[in-house]
Amino acid sequence: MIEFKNVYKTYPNGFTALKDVNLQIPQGEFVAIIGLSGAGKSTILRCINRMHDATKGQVIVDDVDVSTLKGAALRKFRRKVGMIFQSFNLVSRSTALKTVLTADVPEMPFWRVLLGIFTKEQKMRALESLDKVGILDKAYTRCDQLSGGQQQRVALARTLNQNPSIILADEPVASLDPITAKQVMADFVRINKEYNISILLNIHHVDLALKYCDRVIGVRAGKIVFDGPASTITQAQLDEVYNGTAVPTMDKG
Amino acid sequence: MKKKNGSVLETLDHKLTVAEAYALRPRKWVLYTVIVLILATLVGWSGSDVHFSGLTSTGSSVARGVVSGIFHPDTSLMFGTGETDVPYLLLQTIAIAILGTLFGSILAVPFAFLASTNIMPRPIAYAFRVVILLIRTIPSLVWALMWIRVTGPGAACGVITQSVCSIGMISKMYITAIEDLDTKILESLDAMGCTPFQKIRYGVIPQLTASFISTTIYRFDINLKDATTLGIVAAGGIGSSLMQCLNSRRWAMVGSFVWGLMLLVVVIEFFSTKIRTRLAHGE
Amino acid sequence: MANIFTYKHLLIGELLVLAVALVLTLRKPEVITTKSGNTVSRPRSPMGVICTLLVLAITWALHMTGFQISVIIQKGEKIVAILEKLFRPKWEFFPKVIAPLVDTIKMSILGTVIGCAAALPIAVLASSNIDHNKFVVSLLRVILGLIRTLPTLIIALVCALIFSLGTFAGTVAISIFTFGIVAKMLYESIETIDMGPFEAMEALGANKFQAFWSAGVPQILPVYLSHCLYCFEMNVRASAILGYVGAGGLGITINERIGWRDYNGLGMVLLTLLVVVVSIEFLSEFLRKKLS
Repeated sequence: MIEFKNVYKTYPNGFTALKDVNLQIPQGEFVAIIGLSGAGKSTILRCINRMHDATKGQVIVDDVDVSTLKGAALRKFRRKVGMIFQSFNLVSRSTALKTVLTADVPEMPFWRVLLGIFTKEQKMRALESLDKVGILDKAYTRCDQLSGGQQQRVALARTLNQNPSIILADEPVASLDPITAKQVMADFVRINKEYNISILLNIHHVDLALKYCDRVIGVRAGKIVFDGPASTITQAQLDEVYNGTAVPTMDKG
Repeated sequence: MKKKNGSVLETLDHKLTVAEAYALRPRKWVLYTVIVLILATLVGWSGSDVHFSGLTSTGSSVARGVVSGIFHPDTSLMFGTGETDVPYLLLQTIAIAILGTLFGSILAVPFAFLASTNIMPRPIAYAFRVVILLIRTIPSLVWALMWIRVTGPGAACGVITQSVCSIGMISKMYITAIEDLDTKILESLDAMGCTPFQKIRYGVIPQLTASFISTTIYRFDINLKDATTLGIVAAGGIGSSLMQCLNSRRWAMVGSFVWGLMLLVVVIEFFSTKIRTRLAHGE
Repeated sequence: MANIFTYKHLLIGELLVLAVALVLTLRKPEVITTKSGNTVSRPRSPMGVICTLLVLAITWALHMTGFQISVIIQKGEKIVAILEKLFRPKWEFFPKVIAPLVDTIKMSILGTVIGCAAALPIAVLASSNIDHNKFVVSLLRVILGLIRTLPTLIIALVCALIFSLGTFAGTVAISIFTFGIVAKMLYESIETIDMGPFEAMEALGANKFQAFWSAGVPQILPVYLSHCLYCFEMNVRASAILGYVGAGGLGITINERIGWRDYNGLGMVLLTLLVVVVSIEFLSEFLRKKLS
């Protein structure tokens, strides 16, 4: 369960990204966060795994206030929270398998990390993760030789290899073409249902959000303006989220 | 796992199982072990003869002396105005580097053109490249020791040594610039009816000037440091005095020379990077 | 005395020309009006000032160094005689060259390896994108800068004085200045890497070392090895000279030969050096192609 209680976030340059955010997300939900660029979507995600710190208020994950976590405890917490990035953030020169194996690095002894020696058990688990996203045959291909959709799947496999209870995805399909984007979204749905992992997804394309996600949170200028099942959102509410501008969809971009 | 309906993937090859994928893993560890072994042997062999025979009888006092000299330099030397003081010697070192670089870059021009494959026929170009290579291989110190026979010790020796040594590196860089010449400009000048001289003046030279100037400044930087090194063989500049003081164990003076040297290099490096970035972006 | 008299006059004349050039250049840009009434302002070219400054600098430098081209021309035949002997190497001398040559190569390898190995952790600490402690980063960069300003021969001389003559001093000297150069090139490269994979590693719970080793090192490894090879090439050349101050290797032989005016022997030594340097250049070109 993820909870936000009266959370405010102000950046050092004075810009207030989040204003009094209150949320409750039970385990296993598939949530889409929509809104304009700069509305605060990324900040919400990054407050959960403490890539950013909340200025006021509390962020509580599974009954633990994340602001109390430091050092080794914080890193242990992050093992359980996976993050997917828009630019994939893979180690380009490594093979897909090696990239997925890096998910185990935080728990390995120093000498193993230094020499890059993984056990057979770790390699088998990493291959299983690649299999779960359907690119087992690309295990030994270098990441920079894969297509965009395949790279995002490697990123997903890396996250799955962590055995997370939460996955935070920051614009995961923004760099992908429509067909691949839909495949990756379908992967997210499957992972959410099969493994009961909570997924919070930032997404720009509202049609994808409404089609694949259970719940939608609309953010505008740092405030939550809509929070409910995807099926109940109305056009008027969408317009409010997007402040009167055209609502972006996959077809219109 | 084989649930896809008639997808293209299914018809290509059967779906890999995880166990099969594991068996297919590339066995890179053999290559890595070999590389590590080669490196270890090289290092081990290199270290075999190098033994620490202990500090010299004066070793630790020298070390302490140098450190104390750096922290307590002789300020009268550092700010004095005489011919044996730091400022004058720094200026002399700069003067050596200026002339050495200038003469070197001028002399390097004919060498570079004669050694470029897009201007001269290949055999001649390669012949000149060999000449340049020979010039470069003779260490600057050796050149200095040879030129001392001609000019005698002092700053003049430093100048001629640096000129000759600069030819080596500068012509190499010039050659790269010349071989990168864009010949299309020459074509359009030709179409306008220009003489060969005009083509060189308006087609070739503008392309080369920025690169030549940048190379010269770069080499000036290096020559500045080299000029102090040449001082060790008495070719003038701050190096000679530094050497004398080290030999006579005058630590405070050593300290002031080191400070003067560091200041010089830092200031010159700062200016030369600024100029070179402006050259690359602006004029 | 006559020289100085003429020099002062020359100097004053040039300073006057410089003043005139400065005044002319510092005028307001020339405004040109075309027939249609449009105007364009043409900035004054600084070429006049630059050329005058150059002439001034050259005159001053010539005076400072006491360089006279006449001396070169008169005594030029001496250098020609030396070069003639240089190009007729004394082949019988070759056996005596081998041992110092091997020493030189050993010094270079060991010194380069030690310097490069030490440079890696320090360069990481000196990169502003990995290490966020501004004080540490600035301090390390200043120290590295100071190491780099000292000429290599000076470092070798000091080492020879401290550690007694021989290859140990040379190895220490090479390690020190290799360390300075490689560390700088390395932290400049580290600052250009893509921080995305590093961020991803931190997001999944890795500490800074683990994140850098898994996500940063694969990116800079080819560049790092390339820098190391380049330094090795330079060091083989440099170490041949270190012997001049007693730090072991071929330099001692060179010093000897010059002392005896044995330029034929010197030619042999330099020839061997040439062969070694060229082979290493080829080898490192080949390795560098393999790396990328």
